[in-house]
Amino acid sequence: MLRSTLSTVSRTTSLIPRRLYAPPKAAAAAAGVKVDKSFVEEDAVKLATHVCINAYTQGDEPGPKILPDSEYPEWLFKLDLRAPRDLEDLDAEKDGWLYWRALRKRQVEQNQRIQKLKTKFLHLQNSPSMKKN
Amino acid sequence: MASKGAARVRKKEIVKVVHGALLRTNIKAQMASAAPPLGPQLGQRGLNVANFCKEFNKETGHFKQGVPLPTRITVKPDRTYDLEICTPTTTWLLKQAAGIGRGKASKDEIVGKLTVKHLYEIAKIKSRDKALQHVPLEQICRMLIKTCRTLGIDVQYHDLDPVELKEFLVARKEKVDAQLKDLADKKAAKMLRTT
Repeated sequence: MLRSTLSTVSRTTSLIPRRLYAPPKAAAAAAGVKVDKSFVEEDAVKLATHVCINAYTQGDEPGPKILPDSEYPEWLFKLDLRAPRDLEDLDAEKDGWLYWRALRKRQVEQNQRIQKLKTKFLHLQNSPSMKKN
Repeated sequence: MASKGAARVRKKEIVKVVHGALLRTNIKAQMASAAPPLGPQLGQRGLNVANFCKEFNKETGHFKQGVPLPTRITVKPDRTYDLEICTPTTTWLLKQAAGIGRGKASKDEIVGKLTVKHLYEIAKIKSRDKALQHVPLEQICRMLIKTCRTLGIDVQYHDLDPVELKEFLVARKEKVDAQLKDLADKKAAKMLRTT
């Protein structure tokens, strides 16, 4: 019984394919290529209490710590965080130069559109269908 | 018969492109290599690419690997150059501060949250740049707000709540994974298409 099991084991091991060549040099190739190691901080507490912008190799701190409001200038809390508004939402007296800039932008856009329309139908101006009777 | 031969011999006129003396690119810290796009850009200006990469990688040794750095290369007539490395790009700083990997994919998508205090600290770093040396911090902050809008980062006055922020980041991560999966599927479908 024992002899038969041993013989089967030896038979099966002989069937296992053996690699007779060198292993692929994947590790060596990977070592040559520089990997992008820049990471994104995922800790919400750190993101809320620090400005995680440490781009330097030295220093374990994620970046400058966020201080109380009194440490920052007043103008910082008066910055306009709204999205840019359309001409219809602006008022010449309240918004001043913002209104006039938006108006000028609108005029330029309209002029460009008109110029395109002028050149669009140039090929039709001498056609028989366009001639006056 | 002779005319055909003459036509073959006649060479095309080669228009020589004159490249400017100033080259502005974003190069990742410690990762400059002769591969495109940097190699051809420097080669066209007659610089030794290998030496440049070696010098750049040495200069940016104190930065973390992979940080994108705006670089100004001024090429002189004798093929020497001046290398000016600025502080990391605004988009990189904002993304790092917000804890996001990629910007918005659709128009009104919010990808991250920051406070004006975050912007102030980033503005202080950006003010070291030669280009922004005499620009007041208030103006730099306004520029950062516009950049935040293009990236899809929501800026607010009051401080961030860590619990709310964590919930937001988890939800955002799931959304990003779904977006990336869709992109991969589209790419795979495009590759499989035979017609």
